[in-house]
Amino acid sequence: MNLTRIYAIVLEHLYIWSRSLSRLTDAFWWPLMDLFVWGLTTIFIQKLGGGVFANLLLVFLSGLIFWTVIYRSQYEISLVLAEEIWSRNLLNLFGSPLTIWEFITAGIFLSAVKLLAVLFSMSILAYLLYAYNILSLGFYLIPFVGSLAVFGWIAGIVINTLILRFGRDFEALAWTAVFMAQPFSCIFYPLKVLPQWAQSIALMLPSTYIFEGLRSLIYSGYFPPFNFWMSVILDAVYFCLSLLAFKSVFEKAKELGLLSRLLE
Amino acid sequence: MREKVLEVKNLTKKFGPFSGGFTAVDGISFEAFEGEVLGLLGPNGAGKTTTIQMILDVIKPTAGSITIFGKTFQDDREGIMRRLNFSSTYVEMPGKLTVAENLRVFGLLFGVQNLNKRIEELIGLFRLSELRNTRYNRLSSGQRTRVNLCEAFINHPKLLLLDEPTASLDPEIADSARALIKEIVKSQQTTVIFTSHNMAEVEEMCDRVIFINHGRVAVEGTPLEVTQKIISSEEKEPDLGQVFLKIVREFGP
Repeated sequence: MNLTRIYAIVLEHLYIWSRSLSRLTDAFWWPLMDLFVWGLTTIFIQKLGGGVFANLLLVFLSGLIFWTVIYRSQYEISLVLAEEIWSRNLLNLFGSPLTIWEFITAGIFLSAVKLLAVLFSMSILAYLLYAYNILSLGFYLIPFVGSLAVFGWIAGIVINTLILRFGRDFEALAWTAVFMAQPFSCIFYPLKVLPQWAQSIALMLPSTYIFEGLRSLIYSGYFPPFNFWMSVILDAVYFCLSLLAFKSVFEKAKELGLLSRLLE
Repeated sequence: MREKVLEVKNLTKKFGPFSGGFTAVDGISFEAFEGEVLGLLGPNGAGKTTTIQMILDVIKPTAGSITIFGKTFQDDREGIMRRLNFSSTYVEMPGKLTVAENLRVFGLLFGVQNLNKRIEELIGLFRLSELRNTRYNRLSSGQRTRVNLCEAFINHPKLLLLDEPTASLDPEIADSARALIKEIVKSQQTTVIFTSHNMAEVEEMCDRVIFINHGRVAVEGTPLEVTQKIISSEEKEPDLGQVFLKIVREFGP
């Protein structure tokens, strides 16, 4: 693993990101608009329900912000590959000493940087509009953000694997696929709301344990360690599997000549 | 005796049914030596680009071996890649980066020492000084080709793969690009594998040529030797255009 080469990819994408209005809009506009609209909607519902919906705003805003962690992590890592395909630069990159592990590491680093920038801006807006202080979660912020970010990276690596294997027709997955995990992650409702078959799927996702733990923390002030460890174990297993899948498909892409076909 | 930089032995690439089900390269063998410019010629679909991309390690051969600087990619991919580079008219760079920024990114990827100095040297050599802060997507195709060539030389490559590098250039710029490539190649003793459909250009650039047709080597030698083998042993000047036509018309494109 060569840090200079990782830095080269990071530098390239920071240049692209800072000069692309659509990327900046993607990163900041939609998350902030979501927070604005759904925060106000939740306040309205809370007022209608009187004391029945206590903590609804807290649950909803936390869910919204932490879902953004998954989505942005996945999206940004997929975008790194997509940008290289769009700029017809893949052969230049992989015809250099760059390795796929350095490429993925750079993608993860870029994703983390952008995620922190978006999280920071969402937290400020949530505080200004709704007096919601994300720092009130204290130490628990670290496992929440960490586990969900890793889950987003796993999704991003899997999506990149599919794009590499099946070509540009699968590019749309970069901004749609992760939403398949949304209903099963129990972001805004408890696990028991889901039908039995859906609960079985939900229990295989690290995000479910985090969002269940988050609600437990809001309502009872207690974050069950079981939820934390399950999310860590699932993240670790899926992360290793996603890296193996990417490596194997990258080698297959070289065998089938798919890297040059992505230029077409 | 000149050092052998590249050795290709029985190189074969078969694409399976999902990729069209055909043999793109069928057991070709050749060598290239230090400072030599070797032309890979042939009609479209002959297997030239597939061969170049196998040497670049972005396509995996079905059979055969590629040895570069005495090593295979399994032995030392990083060591090989640091001393190899590539340029193709079909490959571009990120459009939102300026000329200088793109060169910086690739200089870092190749681990170039004294990078700022190297970037300035290349920008000067390829007459890109006024465009150094222009974004790549605002350049004409000729200007982009010059930037691509700058990138190809950024790491002082000992083996350079040029896949139709002047295809999008007007005759004047193509001529000056060729002159520059020749000058740099001569001064650095770079080995070049060169593909082009412009036979006059190949005659001007290449010490030796290999004609590939249907993935196989049809003939190889110096441009004059190849002309004498295919056209007539009486020929005194190379005429690769006629060689090309004769090979393609006799054996089919």
